[in-house]
Amino acid sequence: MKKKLSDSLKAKKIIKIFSFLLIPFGFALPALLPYLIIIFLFVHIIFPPQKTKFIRLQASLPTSKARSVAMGLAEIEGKLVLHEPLMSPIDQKPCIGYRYEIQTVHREKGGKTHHHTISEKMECNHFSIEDETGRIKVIPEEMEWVWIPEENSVFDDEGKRHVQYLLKEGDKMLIVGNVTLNEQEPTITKHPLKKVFWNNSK
Amino acid sequence: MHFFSIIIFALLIIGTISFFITIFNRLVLLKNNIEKAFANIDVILKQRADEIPNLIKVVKEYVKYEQSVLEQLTKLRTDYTNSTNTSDKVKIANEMDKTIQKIMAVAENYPDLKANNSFVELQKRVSGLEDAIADRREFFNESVNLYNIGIQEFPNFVLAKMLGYAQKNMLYISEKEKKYDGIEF
Repeated sequence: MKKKLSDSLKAKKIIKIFSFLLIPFGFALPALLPYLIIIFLFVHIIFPPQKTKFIRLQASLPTSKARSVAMGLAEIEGKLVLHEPLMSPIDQKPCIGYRYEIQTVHREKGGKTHHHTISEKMECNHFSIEDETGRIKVIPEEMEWVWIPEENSVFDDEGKRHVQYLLKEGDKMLIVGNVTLNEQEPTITKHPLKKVFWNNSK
Repeated sequence: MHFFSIIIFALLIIGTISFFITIFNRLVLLKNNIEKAFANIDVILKQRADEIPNLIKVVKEYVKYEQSVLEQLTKLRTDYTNSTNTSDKVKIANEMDKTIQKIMAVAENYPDLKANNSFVELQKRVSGLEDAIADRREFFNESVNLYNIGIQEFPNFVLAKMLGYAQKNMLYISEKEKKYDGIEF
């Protein structure tokens, strides 16, 4: 008898707690908000977006000067110097490099539009970055572009959006990467361990 | 126990641990940046010290009456190379600075020396190294500044205090080091 009562009490307790947790589902989204915030924070901390990773690293690295940069992970700020030009895909302007995206456009009832990238192409030649002390070569293989502004966009007959992001001569940029000696010349490339190589216009 | 609440609890724990790992990693990066920056100043100072024998070799052929300055520079170079204490190295490097500047100033009185190609090349190299030293000192100070801010801002200061991270000092040029005694021969 005693055992049956305790089992029954246990069962009631479980049902009460479970019901309490299920209440938010009964009240739809606003009540689900705390749980969603927790899940969002968890995902953001474990898998931060590229821009967050860039901001964190950039905030911790002092900026080096081109003439005295040490080998290893470094941050350099300066103007871009063109070596060999490429032609931009939309308006055929000479540039150092470009990222070309084709996007579908979805318009919501409230007037907001969302763009979804369906195709992407990137091309970038070797270039240099120059500050007031000197110049350093950049080999842009596997370079990630962070906050590079759109240069131009057009719509095609099917309603798809074609957009280009350009790196042009004279653009002021901040590059985070690995400095090594390439043919006795300091060069910036992707860091082999930290896997960082960012180019940012902010 | 309830599956949903377990999931949420586990996410909270993992999220909190990851958050503190992120802060810890940042503090480690800031601290190591300072050590790297200081070691990189040492690299350039060593390069400059290595130029000194070449400088003396070229200069002494022309500047016969200032042997004591050349001897002083040779001694400083030896002391710098043999020193392992960081603050001693900094003091010796500052003395080397002043002595090299003396020699460069003296060269102005010896047109034959000024015209010597080897001397001109050495002058350019030493001047380039001086610029690099100045840049790296600035870089070191910026590293220290970022570190000091990093260990004081919220919420990093909680973990920094637990780990015993203390503020670091920047490189300052003392009044004595700034003082220029003129050319003494």
